[in-house]
Amino acid sequence: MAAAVPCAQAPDPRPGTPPPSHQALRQAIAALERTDGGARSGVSAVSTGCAVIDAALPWGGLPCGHVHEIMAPDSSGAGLGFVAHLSAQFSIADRRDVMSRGNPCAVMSRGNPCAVIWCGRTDDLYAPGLAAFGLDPARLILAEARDTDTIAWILEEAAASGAPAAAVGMVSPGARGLGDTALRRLQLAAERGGVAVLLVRAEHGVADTRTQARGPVTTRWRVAPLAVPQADPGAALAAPVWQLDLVRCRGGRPARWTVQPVPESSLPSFSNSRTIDHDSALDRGPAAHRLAVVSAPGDGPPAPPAHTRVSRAAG
Amino acid sequence: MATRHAVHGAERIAAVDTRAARAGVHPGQPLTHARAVCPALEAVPADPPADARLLGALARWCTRATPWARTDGADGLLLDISGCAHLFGGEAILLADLLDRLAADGFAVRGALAGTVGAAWALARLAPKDRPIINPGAEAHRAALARLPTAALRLDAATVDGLARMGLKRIEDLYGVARAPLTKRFGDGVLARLDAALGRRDEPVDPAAPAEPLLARRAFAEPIGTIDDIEAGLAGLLETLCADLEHRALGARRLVFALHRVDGGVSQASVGTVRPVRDPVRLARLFRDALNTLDAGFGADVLTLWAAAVEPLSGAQADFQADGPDRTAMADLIDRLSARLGQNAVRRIELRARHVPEHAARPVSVTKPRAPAIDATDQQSRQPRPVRLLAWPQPIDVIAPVPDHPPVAFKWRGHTRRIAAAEGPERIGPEWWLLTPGDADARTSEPRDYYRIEDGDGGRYWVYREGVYRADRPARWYLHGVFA
Repeated sequence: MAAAVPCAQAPDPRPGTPPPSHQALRQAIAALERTDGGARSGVSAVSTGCAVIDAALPWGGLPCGHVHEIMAPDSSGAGLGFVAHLSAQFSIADRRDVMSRGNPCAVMSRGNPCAVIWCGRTDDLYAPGLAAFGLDPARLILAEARDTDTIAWILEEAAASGAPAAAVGMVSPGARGLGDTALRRLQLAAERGGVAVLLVRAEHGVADTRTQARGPVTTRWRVAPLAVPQADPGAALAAPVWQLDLVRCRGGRPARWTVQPVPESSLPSFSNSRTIDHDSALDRGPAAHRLAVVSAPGDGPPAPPAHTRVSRAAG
Repeated sequence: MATRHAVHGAERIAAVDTRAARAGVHPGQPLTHARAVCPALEAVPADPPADARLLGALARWCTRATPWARTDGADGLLLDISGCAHLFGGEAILLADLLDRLAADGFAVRGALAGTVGAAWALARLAPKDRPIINPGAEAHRAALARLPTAALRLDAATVDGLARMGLKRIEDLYGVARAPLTKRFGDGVLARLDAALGRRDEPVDPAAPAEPLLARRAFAEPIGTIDDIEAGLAGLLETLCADLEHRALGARRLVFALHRVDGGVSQASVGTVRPVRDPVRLARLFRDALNTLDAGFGADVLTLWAAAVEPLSGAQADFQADGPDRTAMADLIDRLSARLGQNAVRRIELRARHVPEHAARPVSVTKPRAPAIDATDQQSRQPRPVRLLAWPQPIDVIAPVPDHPPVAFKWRGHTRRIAAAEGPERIGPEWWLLTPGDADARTSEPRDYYRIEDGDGGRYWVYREGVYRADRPARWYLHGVFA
């Protein structure tokens, strides 16, 4: 892929002028090739609920208007829980963004900025369980689709319309995933509409390495439940612990964390009274959640301990 | 049974049925008197607007006999059957047909057929004989109306009293009276009505304006068959129909598009929306998928577009802010998804105040109107709930200490899993207030003890044992959900 360098930044041979800034050249090339992930072009990003994970992402959070893939084992609900948490973050962030604009007319005319569309085999999703991760059932719209092509069509329509805060597609285990062309079309549609698209791929078995982990998505995650031995066998079960892998990130590096979802306040309260476009719902919403990192992040070999370097410098 | 309404603050009877009338209740009677006369009286509040709508519907139904039909007052129908009687085989048969059909539907109805509006009104309401039919002619009318009271001329109560005080109690008394003094005393009304009833003065019947159907139609000189042509035709029809809808301040909820083929067949496609719409661009997008199902055969030469269901939609003010169209973007998206996937494929969650977990939150169609606001927070259990709830609980093999300890191992999908930690039990009892006495559904009538269990790999499950522990019967365990 050739990038055209603007002629105005060509080196100037006149004496006395400062040399051209390599940084500016790199920035121009990266913006043209889009490898910086749009970090400097004003893409809005939503916090994942954990400061450590946000720091590892080049956008400071998950960017809207991009396609993200989450892989999870089919027999556990960890993937659904993680995606519910992310959907809730997108939904809350959108609401806050609207409220912070400060213009009452903009708020009134915006209809429902926080709805999230989930498509796929939605028969066995249980809303009160998803609500435990902050996803308001009143903001959830389910679209039933059996095959991957229909799921791709629904996600493209939802992303291009720009209406929902996030669009989640659940691909059945064993079904073929979206092809490269479909993913690129989805990416373009997501950029047009500014809607985050989350693709959930369920895998048979806990870790299926045969599953194709390829495709031009912006970030790819893998969630798996971790068994943590309980200190007191008779006590209530603690919050679940997940192993979260950032397998691929455009403009960032892979990483691995062990996280635990923690509600910020007590259980959120929902009621049937909120309609899809009821504006009074903007003043109260589900409680925010965050992901607490249980152990330190690590990728590759650990860094040498700091005190050794200090002693060498002193010596 | 009777209907009551308030007159000057006091409740009075408005209308009665035959059984109440036989018991001695009559309209205008105070409610307390009526209750004293007939203790078993059931008095419901009168609803004049609903009665008016029903009467309008009956008038439209009467157009099966003649196109000139309209309502007359609050409880009557007026039909002009000039030239229609021969289609039914005679005037008597026409009248009998209409009255019999109305009586079969449960209405208490009287009717009459005469040459003038006034005579028909009088005879229908006050004639002693059932279903009189008067042949046209002044003499026949004079004879028929003679014995009726003066109120039969549609005069108001004050005039009728005045005539009665002068000794003119029947219409035949009016025949011989000098006209000038009567006019001077009571005005034009009395003699005008009399002349109209006898046929000396014309009184035409204005038919009720028929509701125009919302239909757009386009015929072509040559039959068309390609998708592009049909789309172009549909776009034109949508423009016309939407202009008509805007004129009437309505929005379409369901549209039916039909191709009338040259071989006489009709191919139809219909589209529904969640909210009333009258934007031709949005409706054209919804039809895009439906057009593929149409079969044009050898070609279609007439296209019709009909609005089957409409709702009021007021005109929207132009938005002064820059971000206006987001309000309808979500509804538009739902409409497009419903058009392709089907009405019941796009759903939202409805929370209900039920203890049984599979009924507490159900997906319902987006088009279903929202239930009235119930505060489900109290009913929502504070206990954690799974993210996936299996539609049918799957029976599993479980090893658990008796009587009600959580399981130590269970087998599901061929894998035996050892339990590392467990929590529970949470007992969810049957909703006895919903079961009928003869309900033999044992599965829903036994309490369930739910346990949250975690196996060695970190997977968390929601299992339950059905029923309390009984030494003589092996316990039945089921897997109901999966936690995150």
